[in-house]
Amino acid sequence: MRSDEAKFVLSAFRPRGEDADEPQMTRALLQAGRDPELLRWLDEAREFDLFVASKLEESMPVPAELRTNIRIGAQVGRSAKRSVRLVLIGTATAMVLVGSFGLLLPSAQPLEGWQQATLEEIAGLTSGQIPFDEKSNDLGELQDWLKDAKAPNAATLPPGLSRLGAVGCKTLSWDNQLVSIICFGGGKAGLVHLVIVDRQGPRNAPRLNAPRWIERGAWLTATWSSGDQTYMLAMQSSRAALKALL
Amino acid sequence: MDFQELVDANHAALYRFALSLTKSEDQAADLVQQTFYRWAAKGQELRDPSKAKSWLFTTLYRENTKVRRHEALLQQVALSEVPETITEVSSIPDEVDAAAVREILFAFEEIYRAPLVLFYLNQLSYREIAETLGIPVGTVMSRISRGKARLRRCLSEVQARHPTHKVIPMFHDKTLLNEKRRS
Repeated sequence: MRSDEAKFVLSAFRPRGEDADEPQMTRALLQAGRDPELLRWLDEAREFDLFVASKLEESMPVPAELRTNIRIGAQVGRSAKRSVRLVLIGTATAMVLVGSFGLLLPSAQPLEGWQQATLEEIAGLTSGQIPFDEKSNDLGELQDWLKDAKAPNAATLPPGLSRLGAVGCKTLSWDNQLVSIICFGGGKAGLVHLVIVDRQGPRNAPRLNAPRWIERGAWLTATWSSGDQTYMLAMQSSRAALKALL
Repeated sequence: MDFQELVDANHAALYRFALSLTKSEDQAADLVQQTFYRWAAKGQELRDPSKAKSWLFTTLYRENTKVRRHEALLQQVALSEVPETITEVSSIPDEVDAAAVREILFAFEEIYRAPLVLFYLNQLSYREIAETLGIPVGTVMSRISRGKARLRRCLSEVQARHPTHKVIPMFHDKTLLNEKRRS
């Protein structure tokens, strides 16, 4: 092996020596043992690599909540998988979404059935194809309407929503259960939709301060549970914009 | 290794790799979560448990590529200005900071950034990097070699432009430094 060939191979040699048993690396390392100039080059290269590795790690801190979110996401995914019926309904709903509203549903974390159904409804409300059950700029009026309709009502609202004006509300039935949607407007990002459903949250559902984020095409959703209710906030905007509302 | 152990052992490196691909902290976190979800759904069917780490990196990379391809954002620009086999240790800066390293690496085209970051994360061998990225082993070596050459050059340029900018001792090649001082 020539010196330049050895350098080429050793460029991919991890500086802590994990690859020393690889046949190609072994040959290149033997060559370095016979060639002082190559050995000096290798020492310097390893020092450089160790430095870059440590600086790269230092410059990319890992979010503290990531590990917890992964665990919760996987649990939610598993519980969703258990219900074959739910998956079938979800798939059918997704096909309707793609076909009717142009929403792109890439394979990703699964939306639960009620989430997919409400996203479909929300897309219809946004496009004007589906009318609101009740229109009002007074949130109190909308909540009274939902109460009369015996539909889920928001026990607590995310703080950022209070800055927006109410637009209207809508209920739908999914799996023999009423789901409420309250729409807000006035922000730069357009309509924001708060979905409220009773008793759908998994045992370890995320809280408002660490919601579960799922993106579907143009839609970004944040889901959390509080008390006996699960909430989903959906809008066509960035995570930062949605986060600002929570 | 159970799921939680797998997460504990790999989530940080996967996040950093995802961040280098997406350059967005939110997208990187989503990508990592999606990767582990895929593991929870399918990965445990993997016959060889020792391949779990490689499977995770490969899945994350493919997921990102799928999304990026869809968005037509994948860059395929070649480093034409860098010779094929630059391996000399020359023009090495002796001081530079962590933010500069990240900034420079993140500015690289993805075909160089991905293998370089995987190499520096120190989790995968060059063969595993080749499998993860779906390219031949020789191409991985070539891209790492050329990428490192460019990284050295860029770091030197940064240091030359900002000699007093948040400096951290980095490299102590007395011979080279003395040569530089003499010249």
